Amino acid sequence: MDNYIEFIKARLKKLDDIYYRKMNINGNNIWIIYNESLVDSNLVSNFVVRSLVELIENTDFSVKSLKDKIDLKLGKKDINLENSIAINKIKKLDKSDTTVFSYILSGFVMIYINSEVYVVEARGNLSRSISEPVNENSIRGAKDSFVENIVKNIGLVRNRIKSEDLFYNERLIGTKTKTKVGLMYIQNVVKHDLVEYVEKKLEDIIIDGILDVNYIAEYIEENNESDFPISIVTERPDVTSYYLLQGRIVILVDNSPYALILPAFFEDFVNNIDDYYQRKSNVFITKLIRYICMVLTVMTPAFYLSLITFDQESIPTDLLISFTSQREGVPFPAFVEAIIMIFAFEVLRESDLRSNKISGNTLSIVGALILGDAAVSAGIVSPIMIIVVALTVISGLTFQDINIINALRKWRILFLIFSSLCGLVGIAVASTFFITSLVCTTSYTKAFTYPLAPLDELQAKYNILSRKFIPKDTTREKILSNNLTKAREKR
Amino acid sequence: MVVESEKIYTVSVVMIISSCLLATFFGIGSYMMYNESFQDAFVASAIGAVISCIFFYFFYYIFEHNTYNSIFELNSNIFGKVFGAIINLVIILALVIITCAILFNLSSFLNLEYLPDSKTNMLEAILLLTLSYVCSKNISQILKVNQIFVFICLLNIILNVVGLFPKFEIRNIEPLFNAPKISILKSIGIYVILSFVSYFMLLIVNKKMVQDKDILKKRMIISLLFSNIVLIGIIFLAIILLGKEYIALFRFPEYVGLKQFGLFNMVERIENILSLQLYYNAFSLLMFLIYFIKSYLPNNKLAKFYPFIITFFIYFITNFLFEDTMSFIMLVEKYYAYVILIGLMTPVLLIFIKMHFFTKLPK
Amino acid sequence: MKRYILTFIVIVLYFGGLNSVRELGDLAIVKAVSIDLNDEGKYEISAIIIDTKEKENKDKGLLISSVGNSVHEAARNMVDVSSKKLYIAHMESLIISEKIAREDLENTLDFFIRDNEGSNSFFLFIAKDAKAKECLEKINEEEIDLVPFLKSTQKYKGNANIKSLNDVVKILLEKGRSLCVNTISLEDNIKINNMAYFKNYEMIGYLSENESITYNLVINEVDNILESVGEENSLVIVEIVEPKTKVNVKDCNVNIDVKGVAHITQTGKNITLDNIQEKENIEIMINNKIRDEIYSLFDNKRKEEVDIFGIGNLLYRKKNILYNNENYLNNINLLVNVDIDIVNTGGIKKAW
Repeated sequence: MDNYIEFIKARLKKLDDIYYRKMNINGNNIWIIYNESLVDSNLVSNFVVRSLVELIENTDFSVKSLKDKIDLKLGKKDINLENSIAINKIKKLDKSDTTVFSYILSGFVMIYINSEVYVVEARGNLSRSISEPVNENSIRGAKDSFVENIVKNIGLVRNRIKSEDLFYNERLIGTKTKTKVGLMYIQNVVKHDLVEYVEKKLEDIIIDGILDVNYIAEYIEENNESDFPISIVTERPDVTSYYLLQGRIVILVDNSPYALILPAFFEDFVNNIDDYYQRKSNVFITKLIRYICMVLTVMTPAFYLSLITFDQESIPTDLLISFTSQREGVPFPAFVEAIIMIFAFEVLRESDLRSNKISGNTLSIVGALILGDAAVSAGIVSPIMIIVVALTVISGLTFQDINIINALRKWRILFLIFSSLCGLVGIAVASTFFITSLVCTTSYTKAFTYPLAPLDELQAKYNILSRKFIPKDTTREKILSNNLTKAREKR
Repeated sequence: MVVESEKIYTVSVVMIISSCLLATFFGIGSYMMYNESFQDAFVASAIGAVISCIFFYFFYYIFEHNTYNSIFELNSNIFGKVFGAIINLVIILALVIITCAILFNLSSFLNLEYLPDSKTNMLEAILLLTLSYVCSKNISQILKVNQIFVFICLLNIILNVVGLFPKFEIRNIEPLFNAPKISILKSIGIYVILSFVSYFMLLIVNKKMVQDKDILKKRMIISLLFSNIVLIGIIFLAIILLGKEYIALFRFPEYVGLKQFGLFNMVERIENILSLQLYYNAFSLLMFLIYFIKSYLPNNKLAKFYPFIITFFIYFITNFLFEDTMSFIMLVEKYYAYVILIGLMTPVLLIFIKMHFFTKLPK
Repeated sequence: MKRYILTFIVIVLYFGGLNSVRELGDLAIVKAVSIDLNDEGKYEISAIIIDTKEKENKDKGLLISSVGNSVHEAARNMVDVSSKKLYIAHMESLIISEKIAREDLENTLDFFIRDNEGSNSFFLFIAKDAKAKECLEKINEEEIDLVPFLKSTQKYKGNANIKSLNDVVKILLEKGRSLCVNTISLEDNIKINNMAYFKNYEMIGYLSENESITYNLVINEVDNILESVGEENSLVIVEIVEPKTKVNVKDCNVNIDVKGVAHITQTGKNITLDNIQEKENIEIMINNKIRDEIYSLFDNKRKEEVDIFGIGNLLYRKKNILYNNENYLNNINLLVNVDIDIVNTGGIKKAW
């Protein structure tokens, strides 16, 4: 046996799922080493081994000269494996190269023939097949979503943007996980200083393991102190292609079914790409409802509380009488009641996320019973508080990104505290804090409240309460791209 | 990367005038005008608007040709160290007094109508706390916050007019020109002098900092006319809503006028929610004033703490100057106009004369 | 961010800012108030408070009353009777007795105008020939809502008008304008009666029913009224729909123009509506009748030096020289012109 094989076995000897196979064909020693759990055994048996066997047996030995025959007998002729093996990826390595271990542990098959080392890709499919998106629903859009394999994800995106300007490069990050992290953008649209910034940040990452796309996001977003997310995380390839065409950058991470898109503005969490799949004239009411939902989800408990305790004259008389008679039997002040109900709803939501499908039904029935008649009859809360908090939580669920829901939840509690101490003045003060915090969020040195706060009239006219009319949509946003006109080629 | 979120655009600069003009008049200016000339306040404000637009040219000239970072640097460079320092001190004193007056006005309004059993001091402290948070940010972010406030206030004004529409009676404005001529001249003077405060706030930035400069002049004129027309409109609508005698009866007539808001016969008595617009306008003006004072102090390691220190001192100065509403009204009626004239307008005139006729500034 | 929130809470608690908190259970929501001046010269206030504890009988309220030297003191003395402080922002009606209206209206209304809660949109009534407290007791017993009562009287009968306290105070403050206030009276049942008229701040007397309707007609506060001319067999009853009045002044002459549209609702046997001439006769009779009523009301009140239509205010606004004189009322020349068109006969051509 060769020293090289000894060397490899010494390094990998403790691993039981590495398989060593030795073949002796026509006097040539061939070693095949691979990791059983990562390769597709079909590929190994049908393509690698068979090609090797056929190669050695069917080599054209009609030698022209005596020198060749002697060389062949002595096993010195170069058998050019790269030209003859029937597999798609093959690479020749140096004997001193230590990356051979990471190749073996990535699903490559190492072939040691004639003192030459080749690695051949025979990776098995360990990810699920392309299925429907789990967290983002769409009524009319395409229903495929990203999976945990980065090659398939790139394929899903390239299926939609078939241009050679779609640039992709990847790097391996993480000393132990060696995860593939890929960067995609469209070359003549994107702003290049953003690309340089992202690339520099990616190169500076030193970490032992990357598990999810959020790890990368935290490295890149380093000076963000606000609660709002400044990058979009999505699992739909049509959304990704839409943002790529606008001039944004997409980061894909292996083993994660989400794509990271930067930069992100506040309007992206309220707008939805599904608006482009429906008629334009109905979009106005939909967007109005979403903005009203955002205001409702932040301010409703605070507003109700300030009306009840400080400013009872604004409530119509009949409602006031009804509220008073409802609150007669409740022992807590209104602020404590609101906190109890919000806490109960959040507990329900958390347990909904964590529970498995079997006990899901029982929990929802118990939740409905607790928050329904039972709490009211027991005299703990008043019915109107249940309606207020239910309205709040439901209108908060119109947003899809979990970061936005959590950020709005924090501000909801802040508004509640301020308003229970000072009434309507407290709401005004808290709204000042909220607006300042929203405006001061910078998304990769661009302002977060983009069409509204540095007012760009052309985009604000379209993006805030309606959407662009697709045949007349000819300009891109100035803040995302320098190439402002969209190409309209006629065939 | 070029920090794009710190760039200033024309729209933000132009909206300084809209919020500041409405804020300087609420509670102090319009109260004085109604008590002087009753229903002729409308005529006085119309004439006063025309005159103050003429004075606006001085402020715009300084804004356009200033190449230093702030007006205080400009002073020390044009007038030399000693004289420039004197003028800077005069401006700062005037600004501090104006801040105290507007802060006291706003907190007494909130104390009277929203939280009657609390003390005015508490509301001053709350407002100063919020101000010290907001004023620690960059100037472009403060301008954006002001922009969003202006949007909210515009919507609010439209809603108010829609709800109050059936209650207007045009005949409340007659008889016109009934007040003696002296009173009308005094009201015109009040309007013109008080509008200087809001024009002075334009000097926080200068034309060099703004990105798209070509359309600045046109937009500035449009915003100036628009703000003045809105202010004249508010004065006019308050008079025809309340009538001549009723308007002189109250301390905050706009709030009393909003009490008659009625929509769909059901939504009534919501004047507390609708007059939050007065809070937002006054808050914008206070933001700019404290940022202005902050830009006088040198930029060193303590710069993070400046807003906190400034608000701390303003709390004590306000308590020292104004004790309660009656003394506040008497002091304001006697001295406020002179403070603005001597403290703000004279330095501006001096700077204008020196810049226009004598010195040329480096680019 | 956390520092600011903590500082906020510390500030509010330090200054004792939670004083303004009012729980809903601490409020006594007042529905109607009555003010009387009893024999000892003290103010007696009664109020109907909405009872929120009993869930079955929601409309019936509690009646509580107390006595004091001034209105404000009497309102404060209510805490002797009920445990909660009065909350008058949702009040609907205020009933004052005739004695207060004749002597002491300003001090009474001062309490309501200075209060910064509520919008003073309730209605003012004067209790005629009864004590205000008895009216209130009857209202509470029978669970009557005065506001719809008032609105339907204004709409269909015309001898009341819907002016809230805001408008009443504005009229009181204006120069040269005179005030008329609705009244209610208690005879077995609560009834909305004819109006009472004032001079400056004191009540002088009551108007009759026709005079009330004429007054409301001239100040444009009626929706439709009924007029009748003729008698027995030549009776014609006409309904005038939304009449409009304009008052102009020119030198010494004051013109009152009334225009409107009318429908015939009832006719006697002798009336046949065959030709235009007959219709015009009826129109002329109605016009004359209304015109005479306006003249007589103005002249009757002119003798008592009461400017019932508020013409002094019009002279002041148009800066007429006449107003500078003290006795401008005697120098006014009133010219009334009434123009009612009969449009519809109800689809019936002649008397049946």
